[in-house]
Parts: sequence; structure tokens; C-alpha cells
Amino acid sequence: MSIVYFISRYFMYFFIPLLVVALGAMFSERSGIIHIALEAVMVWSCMWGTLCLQWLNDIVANGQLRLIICLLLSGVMGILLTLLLAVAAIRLNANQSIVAIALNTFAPAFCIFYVRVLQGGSEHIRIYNDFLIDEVPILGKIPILGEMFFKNVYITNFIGIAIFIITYIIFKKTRFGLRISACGENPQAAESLGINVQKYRYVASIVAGFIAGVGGLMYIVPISTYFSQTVGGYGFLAMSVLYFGQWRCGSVLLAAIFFALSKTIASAYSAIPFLANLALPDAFYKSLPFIITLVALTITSKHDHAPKSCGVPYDKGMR
Amino acid sequence: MTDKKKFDITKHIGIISSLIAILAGMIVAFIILMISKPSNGVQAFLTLISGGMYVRADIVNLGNVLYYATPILCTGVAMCLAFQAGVFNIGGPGQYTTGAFVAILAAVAWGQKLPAPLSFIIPIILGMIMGALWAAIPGILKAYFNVNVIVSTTMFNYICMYYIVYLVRMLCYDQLKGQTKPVVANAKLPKGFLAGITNNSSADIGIFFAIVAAIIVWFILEKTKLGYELKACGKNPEASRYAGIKSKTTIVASMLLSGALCGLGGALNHLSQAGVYIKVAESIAAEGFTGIAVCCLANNNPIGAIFGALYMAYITVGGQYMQLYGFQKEIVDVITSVIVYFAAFSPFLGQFIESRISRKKVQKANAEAKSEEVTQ
Repeated sequence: MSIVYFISRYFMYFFIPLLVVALGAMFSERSGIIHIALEAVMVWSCMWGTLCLQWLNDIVANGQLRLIICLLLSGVMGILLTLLLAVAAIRLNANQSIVAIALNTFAPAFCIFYVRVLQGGSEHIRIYNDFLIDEVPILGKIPILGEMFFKNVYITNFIGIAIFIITYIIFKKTRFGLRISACGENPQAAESLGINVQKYRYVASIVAGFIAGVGGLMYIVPISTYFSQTVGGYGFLAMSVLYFGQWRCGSVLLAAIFFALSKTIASAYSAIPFLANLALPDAFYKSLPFIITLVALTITSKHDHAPKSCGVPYDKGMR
Repeated sequence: MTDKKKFDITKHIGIISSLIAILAGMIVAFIILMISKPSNGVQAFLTLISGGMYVRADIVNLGNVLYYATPILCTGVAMCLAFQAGVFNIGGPGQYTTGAFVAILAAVAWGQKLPAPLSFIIPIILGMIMGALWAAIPGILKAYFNVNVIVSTTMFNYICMYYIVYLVRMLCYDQLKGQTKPVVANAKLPKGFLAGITNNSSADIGIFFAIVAAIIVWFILEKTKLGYELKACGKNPEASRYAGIKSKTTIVASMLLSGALCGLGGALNHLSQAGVYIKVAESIAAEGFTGIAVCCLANNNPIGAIFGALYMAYITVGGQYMQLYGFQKEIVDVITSVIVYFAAFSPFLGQFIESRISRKKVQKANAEAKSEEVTQ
């Protein structure tokens, strides 16, 4: 049973950031802007978040409060980077994929450069981790589930679930969500009904940047005690989650569960007796999530439900 | 009016927007250098833009520019071809590394046995084939299963990254140094006359292979049926399908060619005299991404890529000296990204310049018409 608890804990570490970042990207892509720069947003906002954690270490004594402040800061920094993409895509009619590639090159390079200058040589930002919640009151007492999901957890798990619920409500129940979708599907029709397409795309990008930025810090806090300017292809995995989930909240959730499971197996296989006995090469397990992504996309991509105007600069005169 | 002799700015918008992108990259680099260390900023910047000449005025630096330009010219041309065909191949790093690995394997195995030109030409060809095969899979997935190329090639980069470490350990491992076994001198690319004129720098004949490749790709794109079909598919896949072009075959063909060029870059770099090895470390080959910058600078033109690659190599050489001033060479990547960023909206820039010019012309014509009215 202890293995199940161990795996479920590991699973949450991978599942929450994947879900959150994919949901962030969903805002952007549903409004019509391809967001391949997730990797960049994650690295960039994670750097500012961890620097802030370091800085606030002696100032804010309460670990949870400190983490929340830094998550907010990461989100704001995520917005800043995403705005570079948004302005280029919305105002300057740029090729969105090329802009995203530029940002994906920029963020890791700048972060290594900046942190090395800041710390005089080392690119690792150390984090003092005192965020673990031993047991959630009441819920932790539930027999098996309590042990699995409400003991030794991070507050990020609950924030992540909350973000999912809010996103679900926004897209299913609110006018705002429907209008974002309209901008991504048929912006000309949306404009004719009095929706300001460019404004909605900006707002969607800002939300996307915030959520993806928060997801960046969520990724690093549970799994490591230092941040070395890389999130290990997580932004791209999150993007695949979105594609595999066909740009819909419920499917994205399922896709994230699926990917997080494969990632969990990839990194915890040595602790699972059955898999450790197979003696397959390390490379096999490490590349497993990526191979599974490819297989999954091969099966589902034939008839995809991508937003129809995703990646197309908005031209008022076009019909 | 002598319209023919007049410099027509609208025809040179591609070059102008590239120059603007380069300028923007330089300005951002200068700002970052000045903010992070004001005391050394100016000297570091001068070193960067002089290609290292500010520190060490030696022809060796120019030779090294040729050496660094070789792989990124190959990947840059590969990107030009893929982008013109409308396939967003960002799997350059994977194709580059797999090509390099196969070339090293072949060179280590047969380098001594084969006579001189064959001893490096056969590994290079094998490397190209490997790169092409590695690129073909995402191509097929795109053509027949509609899998997004950006996602699939990224996945292939990561798969390659993990498996190369494993394969190097299995097949071709120098345990002391944690890298691939050294290639024998017989299988390395000779320096030829370049050693003499560049003061024995790292430059070798690889640069000529790369330039020939660029010219061949230009020829394919501009003068052959295949090139026409590639470009037609890139502009409008639906319309070209109606015109009878097999768009699926075209996508796979463009990925094959693009992968072969990336593999060529990997093979040329790893068979160079300077001695480049594949390290047992999980990292993604930067040359693959620099190729995108080269391609953006060149506006997808293979001949332009020669100049783009030379420029990128030039600032790379400058970046090598950055550590003298306590900066990291990552500043080069920052410049690269800024260049790519600005290149992304060069069409907008072009429209902007054009609209400005035409507005001026209209104003001029109006003014002339008015003055004529007055005289009448």
C-alpha cells in the first residue's frame, strides 16, 4: 500500500502543473493565438518565482503565505512574457509560431545569463522548502483517499484543482468564455455581433500568461530544492496535453491524467518492483512520455477540433 | 524620370527588415550587458560586435567564423526548405544529432580502412541518410495522420536526446572522457588551403560542402518541378491539391530533404579537425535552433542563408570571448532570439514601409496636381 501512496503523491507532482499549464494555453488557443511558448513562460516565471522565494525567505515566516505571494508574482511575470507574444500576434500580424520559437530560445538563455550574473557563476537557485502540509484537517482522516491525496501535500494541488474548476465554469457557463471561443472560431462573425476581437484576444492572452506562469512555479516547488533554468520539456508536454485533449476542458483533464501517469512511471519506475525487474534501459522510461504523446496524437489528430482561426492573424476585411 | 536607375526600396524590404532585426538584437544585447555589469558592458559589447577582433586582432577569428558557420548553414538551409514547403520543422536538433552520431559511428569503424576522400564522404552520406530518416517519421505523421509538426518534431528532439546518451554508451563510448570515441585523422575533413590563409584556424573544407548544399537547395527550389510543388504546397495546400500536386508526398519529401541537410550539418561538424564529440549529457543541440534564426534572417532564401549563417557565426565567435569580462556566452542566444522575434513580423514591417512610401507618393502627386491647378 505504501507504494500506492508514494505513486499517487508523485502523480500529483506531475499532474497539477501539466493540467494548469495546458489550461492556460487553452485560453490563448481558444481565442485564436497559438501558444507554443509555454516552455518559455514556465522557465521565465519560475525564475522570478524562485528568486522571490529566496528573497522572501527571511521576511515572510509563514511558508504557505510566502508560496502564494511568489505564485502570484510568477503569474504576473508570465503575463509580461506572454504580452510579447500577444502584441506581436495581435497588433503586428506576426507569424505566431516563429515568435514562440524566439521566446523559447530567449527565456532559458536570458535566465541562465541573468542568474549567473546575479549569483556570480552558478545558475542554480536554491529553494528552502517548508511548504509541505502534513495533513489537511478533516479530509486527511478519510481512510484511503485521505492518505493518498490529503496527507503530505502541497497547497499547489488545491490551487490547481481550483483553476480547473474556474476554467470549466468560464468556458461552459459564462459569456466571457463563449466570446473567447467565438474569437478563435470565427472572429469576423464575432466582430459583426459587436465583440471587440482584439480586446478579447489580449485578455485571453493575459489570462493564459498568468496561469502558465503560476504553473511554472508549481512545477518546480514539489519536485526539487533548486531551479536550474529548465523545466525539462514540460511546456511542450503541456501543449501536447492540450492538443490530445482537443481544446476541451474535460478532455484536457483526462489527457493530463494520462500523461502524468506515463511521466510518473518514467521517473518512479525504479521504485516499482515489477518495472524495475524488467531491466529496460533508462532512456526507454525517460522518453516514454514523449513516445506516448506521439502515439496518442497519431490516433486523435485525424479529425481534430482545433479552433478554426487559431494562428490566423485577424483581418477585419476578410470574409 | 529615370525610374530604372532609382533605388526602389520596395524590392529590398526583405534585406531591410533583416537589418532591422540584427540592429534590434544588438540594441537589446547592449542594454542587457550595460544593466547587468555597467563597468565592463561597453568593452564586452565591442568584443561581441567585432567578432572577437577587439580582444585579439587575428585572422584566426575569421577562420573560426567559417568553422562555426558550417553546421548552422546546413541547418539554416534545411529550415529554409522546410518553411518554404509550409512544414514547420523544428526537429533540427534531433536530426542534427542523429546524423552526427551515425557519421561518427561510421568514421570510427571504417575511418582507417577506406582511402582518403571516401573515408569522410561515406560517413557524411550515412549521416545525411540517418537525418533524413529521423525527419521522415514526423513528415509521414503529418501527411497521413495530420499530427502537428511542431509538436511531433519537438517530441523527436527529446526522444533523440535520451536515446543518444544510451546508444553512445552502448556502441561508441570513450569512458575516460564521457563522450564518443575520437575519429581517426584519416576520416576527418581536411583543412586544405584554409589552414594557410586563416593562420591555422579551425576552418576546414566543410564550409564548401555547406555552401554547395545551399546552392543545390536554391536550384531545387527555384528551377525544378519538385521545388515548384514544394513552394505551391507551402503557399496553399488546398489549391495545390486541386492543381494535381500530391501534397502528402510533397510534405514527406520536404521533411526528407530538410532532415538530410540537418544530418549533413551534424556530420560535417563532428568530423571537423577541431575534434567535436557527442557528450554523454542530456542536452539538445543548439545548432538546430540557430538554423531557424539563420533562416529567418535570410527570409527563407537558401543563398541568403549563407550570409545569415556567417553573421550568426560571427557573433558566436565574439560571444566566445564574453567570459573574459565575466559574462556568459548565452548572450549570443539572447541576440538570436531577438533577431528571430523581429524577423517574425517582417511582413508587417514590409507593409508598413510600403504604405508609408505609397502615402508619400500620393501626397506628392496631390501636391503636384494642386500646383498645376494654381498655374492654370
